[in-house]
Amino acid sequence: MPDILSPCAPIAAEPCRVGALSLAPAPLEEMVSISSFSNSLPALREAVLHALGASLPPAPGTATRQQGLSILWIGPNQWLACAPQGSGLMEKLQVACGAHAALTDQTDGRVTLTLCGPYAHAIAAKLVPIDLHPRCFGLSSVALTQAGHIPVILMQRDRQPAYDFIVFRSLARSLHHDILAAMRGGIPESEQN
Amino acid sequence: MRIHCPYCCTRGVEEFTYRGDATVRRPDLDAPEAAWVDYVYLRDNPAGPHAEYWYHAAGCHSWLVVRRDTRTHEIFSVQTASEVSEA
Amino acid sequence: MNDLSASLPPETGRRGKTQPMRWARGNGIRGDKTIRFTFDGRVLEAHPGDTLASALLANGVRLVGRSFKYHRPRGILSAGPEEPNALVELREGAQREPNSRATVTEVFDGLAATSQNRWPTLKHDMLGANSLLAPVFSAGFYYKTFMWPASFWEKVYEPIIRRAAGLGRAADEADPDHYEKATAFCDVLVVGSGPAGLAAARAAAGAGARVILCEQDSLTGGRLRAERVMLDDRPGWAWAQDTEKYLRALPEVRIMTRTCVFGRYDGGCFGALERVADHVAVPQAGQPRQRLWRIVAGQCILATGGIERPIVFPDNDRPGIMLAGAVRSYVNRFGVVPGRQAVIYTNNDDGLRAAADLHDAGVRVAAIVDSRQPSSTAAQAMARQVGAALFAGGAIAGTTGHTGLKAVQVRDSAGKTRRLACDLLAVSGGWNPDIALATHHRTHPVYDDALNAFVVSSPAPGLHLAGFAAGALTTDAALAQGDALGRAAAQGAGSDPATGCAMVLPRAAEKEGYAIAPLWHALGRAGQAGKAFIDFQNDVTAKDVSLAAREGFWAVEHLKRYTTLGMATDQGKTANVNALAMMAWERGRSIAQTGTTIVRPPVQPCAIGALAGTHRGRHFKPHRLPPTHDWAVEAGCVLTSNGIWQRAQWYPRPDETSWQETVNREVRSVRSSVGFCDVTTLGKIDIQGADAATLLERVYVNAWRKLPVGRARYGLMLREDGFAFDDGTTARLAENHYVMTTTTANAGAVMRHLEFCHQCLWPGLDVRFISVTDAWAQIAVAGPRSRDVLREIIDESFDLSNEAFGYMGAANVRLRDGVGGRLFRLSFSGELAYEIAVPARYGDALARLLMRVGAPYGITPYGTEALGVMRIEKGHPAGPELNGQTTAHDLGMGRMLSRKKDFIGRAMAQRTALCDAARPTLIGLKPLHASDALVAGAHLLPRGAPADAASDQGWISSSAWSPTVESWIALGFLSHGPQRHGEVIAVHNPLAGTVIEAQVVPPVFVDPEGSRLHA
Ligand SMILES: [Zn+2]
Repeated sequence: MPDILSPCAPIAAEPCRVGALSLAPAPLEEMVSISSFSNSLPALREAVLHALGASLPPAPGTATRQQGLSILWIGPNQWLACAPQGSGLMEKLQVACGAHAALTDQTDGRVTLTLCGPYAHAIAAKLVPIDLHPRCFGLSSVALTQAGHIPVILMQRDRQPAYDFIVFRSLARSLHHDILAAMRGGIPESEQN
Repeated sequence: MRIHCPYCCTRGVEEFTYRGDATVRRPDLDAPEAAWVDYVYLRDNPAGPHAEYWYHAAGCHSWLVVRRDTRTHEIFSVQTASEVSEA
Repeated sequence: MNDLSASLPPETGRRGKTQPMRWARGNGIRGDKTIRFTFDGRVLEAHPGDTLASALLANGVRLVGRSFKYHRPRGILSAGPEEPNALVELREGAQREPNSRATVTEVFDGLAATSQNRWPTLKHDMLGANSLLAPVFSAGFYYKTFMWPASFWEKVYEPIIRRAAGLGRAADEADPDHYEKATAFCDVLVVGSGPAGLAAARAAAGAGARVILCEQDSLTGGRLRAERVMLDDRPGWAWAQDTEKYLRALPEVRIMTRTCVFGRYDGGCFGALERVADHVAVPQAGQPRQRLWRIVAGQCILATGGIERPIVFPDNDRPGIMLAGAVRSYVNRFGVVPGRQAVIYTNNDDGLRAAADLHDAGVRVAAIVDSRQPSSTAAQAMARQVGAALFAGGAIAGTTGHTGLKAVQVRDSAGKTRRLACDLLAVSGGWNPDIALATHHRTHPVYDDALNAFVVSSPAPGLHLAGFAAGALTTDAALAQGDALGRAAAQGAGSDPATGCAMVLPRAAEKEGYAIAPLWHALGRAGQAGKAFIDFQNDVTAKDVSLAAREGFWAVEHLKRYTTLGMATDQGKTANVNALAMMAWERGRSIAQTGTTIVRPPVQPCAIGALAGTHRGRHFKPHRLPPTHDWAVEAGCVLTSNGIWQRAQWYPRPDETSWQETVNREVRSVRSSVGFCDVTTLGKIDIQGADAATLLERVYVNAWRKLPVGRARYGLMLREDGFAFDDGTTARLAENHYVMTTTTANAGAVMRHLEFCHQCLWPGLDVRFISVTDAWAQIAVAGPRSRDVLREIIDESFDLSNEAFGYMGAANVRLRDGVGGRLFRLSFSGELAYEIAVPARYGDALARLLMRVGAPYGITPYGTEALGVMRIEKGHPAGPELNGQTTAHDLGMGRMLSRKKDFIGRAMAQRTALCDAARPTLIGLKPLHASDALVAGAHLLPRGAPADAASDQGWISSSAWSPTVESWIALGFLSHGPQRHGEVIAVHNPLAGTVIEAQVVPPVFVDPEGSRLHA
């Protein structure tokens, strides 16, 4: 009887709460990076739409999201597609666009930590040096930046507000600590008027 | 200093890594040694407008050519290195 | 939201037993609530809204500290952050904070403040004897007095000086408080919330801008709280309060009180320090004491007001001598009278107003000494109004009172001197616009002859000055200027000019004249009695400036360094201009010709803890954890840092007494049976595209095109200067798909290098790469039984035999339970070995599985130390060999350099000097006595040669005790190394002063034929 390997997450699933704020790892998703080969972009866009029923986001710094699927811009001609476990994301993409783009499985490379609750933007502002004002960073906006010393892909998941910090797996625990410390530091008085 | 990345918009300098003179061009393999020495070692150090490589290390990983005044840090233009190389 | 005293009218004559000098509630005080604090152990009462300074004054405490050099008794000079004298220690134990300015310290219930720089007590300070040594402590004393003998400096002079002439004591434990950082963005940043700042914020917000208003004080209003300006028949502070309330209700306005903007940086960035919990006894759990803000602003309006100048005259530093504007602040805002009988000394009309405020607070104003001749009509009117004697063209020639002012010597215009009893001298030498932030970035201030002060005439783009910071002399002018600039700044930041409506500005009732006549060189210069202080905090006197002038240190930068003028916590805010004026006078030049120094951030002291934020101790840097981390910790490993990675260094067993014993066991287990080690930390880069092979050809020295799918190859990268950069194996997974490994240390640098090659050098290449370091848990399984262990794990259908999956094989595999992975036959140890990669989430389980299935073979987890020993035994170069100074030739890999292609570093690697056979080249070393320790960094010399640079022929790069060879072994670089195998040389360790004899051997100590590797 072969041994069964059971998966192990770097961060416990139970959310950490400080006041009305909460921080929790998002459920493991299938993640595939899509990087367009030279002169393949129009074909790639069509193939992705065909394979996933969703388009590559039209502009840098944005994501398209529908029914559990999200496609985030993560660099010039580069995207990160995320879908629930069991979606067969890689297989679908390989069939449809293996010729147009480099496809790399990132399911295990990244961990998503979701910060949500009132004034979550004020907590995020302690971590990332970018403007989170709705006119600069709205729903489904994406930024590649750093939270303190840790590189992250930041996405606004919800207007509630809720933010996804997508981080290299090996750094997930350090980032979790840093976000939690920021939450414990409280909401700056000047945010609350 | 804040640098306008063509992909990521304006970001603080801490997201970027300075990578030196962007005016030098890699010689052909058979170029004279002097050309290689010039490419590898010799750098002008202008007080004034200069073109420099800045790598958006904590962002989109783009190599950028930033034209700026080294005295005032005023930035005149930012282009991606690939569009500069291809031009 | 502060609405402390909106409904509290001033209430006169409340002089009880406690707080005897509190005459009214003051517009910034909550008089209905009493709190207690201690000063030097004495319990005193105060009200919320008090600063430590106002609370001490309310209790009649005038003596607050001792001066830096002479230990002169000092009191409170100012009512703001410019305070040079009233420095105290706050709190106790680990939280003790020295040199805190009493004038900006908010009193809270239970605050413990202590005077400093005195022994044994503030009142009876033995170190006051320093005053008798005054000649020794004059300008430049450090440079002159302690020149000889040099050996006395550290042992004698410095300890004495430090004890006698220091300020507060730093806490000697780690700071237990939290600090944090945050970033904020706005269109318009307004610094200062006096009339100009509030008007500017209101106008900018009205024009549609996102506004941040920063006020370093706990309350908004600025001078409107210190003075009694009536705006549209209401107190100015009430207008400020209403305006603040209005602004707070606007969604795009953020008001940050207790927040000092301390620096202006490139690109519209500002540094600001928010005192989050300095005004409470204990921060809430997790709450930071201070928060460091980076504010990114499109435009900035500096409405920072002004700082009043003292007047330089003999003995002008006694407790009770106070700036006139500060007196007004204590009277009006705090409801405290700083004395019972006052004299006013001024060179301008503004200083006179203190007389009216004091008079109305019930203080007798004995005299107004007006240095102007003739004095103004305002002075005459004021003297009549308060019933004071007016000395037009008069001067203060001296003062008396050891620990507090008792009397002043007034010299009238005829030169006649008389003594006037008083316990308060309100002094105004005019005002300096507070332009510090405007002068960051090397903007030079210019001298304005009309204003008698330095101003910024052409501020940086996007920067505006409003109110007194820009020289506006009246409240009306400040309001109008703030309003206009607020709108202009909003438009400058991109707001639509059509947005917003004009707002009605209130009008001030009073005619606010200034009419200043310069008074720079009063009495007290060389040859006159008494010390006339210019810089109170550094005890710099008028004589010191004269001396500096005589000795040639007249340039402003020299003056500063020679006399220490303008240094320390106050940065000479009250001193600099008086000193420059005196220097100008000494030299017979104008102040404009003399010039001024410019300032750097921070404009106010900023704790290092705040700059560090949360990045301290264990969290100074983030940690990267490999997927087997938790298992390894459970298994009792000792961790080590590899960059920011945390890796298992070794796995001690309870019976082992030294790490060496542990490492020896781990090495023997691998060499005799099997062991495993997490190698996830090696950089892994997924490379795909039609030109993937071309890219590899260009970044590696060796050939790649013919590498078959399913095989890996060792590759060496050079820098463009021809020196080795990084190495690793790259496997071909499919026709156009490779996975590259890098060293742990260089993973980021290699990625950047590949991006450079692709984006800057060869943008036409059709290739894509992305890091997959974190995606795979990669574990090296090494040792003669490694194949047996893997057979238990890998799906049976995969043929692990040497014939089917030989050395340098690479394959996609399935584990027996179906998990997909990758298998590489790579070896760093020289044994039969594999690296197995599974999705990172299974890494922990894989380690546990290996322990179970490997148990029959005695499988041993090993750490980085055993890994290092085995790679030295096998002669694999690593970080110490690829140190940036070695070439492929030096590493014994000269023959790898392809001659058929261009690659990074090829041209420069061919330089004659880099191909010189005399260059130190990789060798192995074995001591003649196995137990003689070889140490990395030791120098290699010919046997018998003197230990000098001329004989130096190389160095040891890595060394270890080899349990396999049972000897110390080392890798090193030796001139003509490969030709000298067998020679005995000297290994010199200059740190230990030892010389060991060792034999030069080939750099492979184990299995040189490679039979184990290929088993
Ligand atoms: Zn970018």
